[in-house]
Amino acid sequence: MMNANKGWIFGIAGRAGVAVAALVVGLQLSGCGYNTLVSQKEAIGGQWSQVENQLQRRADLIPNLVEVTKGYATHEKDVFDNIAKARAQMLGAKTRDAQMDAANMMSGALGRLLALSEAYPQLKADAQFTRLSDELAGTENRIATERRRYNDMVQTYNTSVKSLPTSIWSGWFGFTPEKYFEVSPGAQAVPQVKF
Amino acid sequence: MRTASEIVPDRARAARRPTSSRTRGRVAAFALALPLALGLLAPGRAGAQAKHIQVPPPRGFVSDFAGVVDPATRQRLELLVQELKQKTGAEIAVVTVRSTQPETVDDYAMAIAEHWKPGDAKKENGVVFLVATEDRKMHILTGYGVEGPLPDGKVGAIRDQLVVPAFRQGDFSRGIADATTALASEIAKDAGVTLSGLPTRERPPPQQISLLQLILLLVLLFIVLRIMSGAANQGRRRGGWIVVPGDSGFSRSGWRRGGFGGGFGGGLGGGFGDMSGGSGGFGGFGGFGGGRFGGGGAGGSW
Repeated sequence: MMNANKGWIFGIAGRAGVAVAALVVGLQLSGCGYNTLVSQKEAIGGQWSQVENQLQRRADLIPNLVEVTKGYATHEKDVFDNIAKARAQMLGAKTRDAQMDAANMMSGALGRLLALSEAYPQLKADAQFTRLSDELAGTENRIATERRRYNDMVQTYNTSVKSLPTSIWSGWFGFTPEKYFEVSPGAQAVPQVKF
Repeated sequence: MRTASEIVPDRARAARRPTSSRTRGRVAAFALALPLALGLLAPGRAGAQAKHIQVPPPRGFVSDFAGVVDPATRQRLELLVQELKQKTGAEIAVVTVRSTQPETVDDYAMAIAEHWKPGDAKKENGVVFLVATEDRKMHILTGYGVEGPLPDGKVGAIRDQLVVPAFRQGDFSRGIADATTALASEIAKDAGVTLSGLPTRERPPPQQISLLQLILLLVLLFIVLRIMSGAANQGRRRGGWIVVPGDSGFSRSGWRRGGFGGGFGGGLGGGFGDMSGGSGGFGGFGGFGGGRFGGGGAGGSW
């Protein structure tokens, strides 16, 4: 009698233990843990610096490219002004948002610069211009790649933040949805090198 | 280009847990069911990489899906890349397709890079050379580790001087061979080696089971025996401690294709082929090494 009673009590304790363990494991597996959000947000920050690296790489290419182009296309003041403006905005951008806008503006300005090669055959034939525009096209592609990876990470994180049950408490700890790095319609045309 | 990376639907396996009908068990059953139900609500763990573009598996270092490279050239390039890999670890994936539509040629090249992962996993020195014959477009992608020897400008020059003139004459074999050779020798020069065109003959190992595979086999055997003896001893259910491959925890590793059910062939062969890359075979191609790409390179049309 006594024994059976004891077994019953142990049974309850055992079950409670299992239940707590299962709850913890379940919460971990379901990906709605606080730590998951922290690491996802960290990953986004890390990926953004990859984007920044490539934006910087592009910015570094511009002076040379402008210099070569100016040698042939002397009357295209607008194009060069736009690039200078975009460059200034890029340098002045403090937040991620502002950087995204400046990057898009720069893409548009550069697209117009590369388009000049169609109007100036000598420019198109210039070996240095060809090399620099290849470098620029490659860098645009790198930006696109890192931007896509950034957006993928943002999507994963935003899905976590907005899904039940995480959405109930994520706001309390400052986990708000992150912004995607959208490409503005005007800047979408990646400069293509034509033969 | 925004991608909607797929959301993997959570399997309903969790819901099928047997629950005790006894009153005392109800609390425990509820406590068990709650996290499992939450698990169903949770978002699928979509991969961070966008692999939404489907690409066929590689046929070798040269995957001539469009059928435009003559066999002799193909064989020569296979040997050349094999030698390059032996001496530097770098891998060049030469791919021809008829068309990449509806994807652009650069997106498609990137999808190949992300699926196949040419190049050494640490050195990240892979190259993807994609030709879309009917689109009249090509793209050469350089992995992170070869951006030094192959800056975009140099890749562009290879395209202008070697690829485009030959392609304009309709000679795909020559354009592909010359450009691949140029890419390979730039990588070799940077690594301080020279290429002869002939790889050293790999000793053909009679038994290709590595120590790691042996251990894994033993572990699998052990687990299977455990399950069988457990099932034989008592009809009681005791599942739970065995991690089934393919379950969330393991899905990232090489296990994902096989699983127990799928058989050893799929699990081991596929998984290890992807990673080791170096091991034997006839042509020397045992899968690519795991390189990563940042989007550098050059492409264009002809």
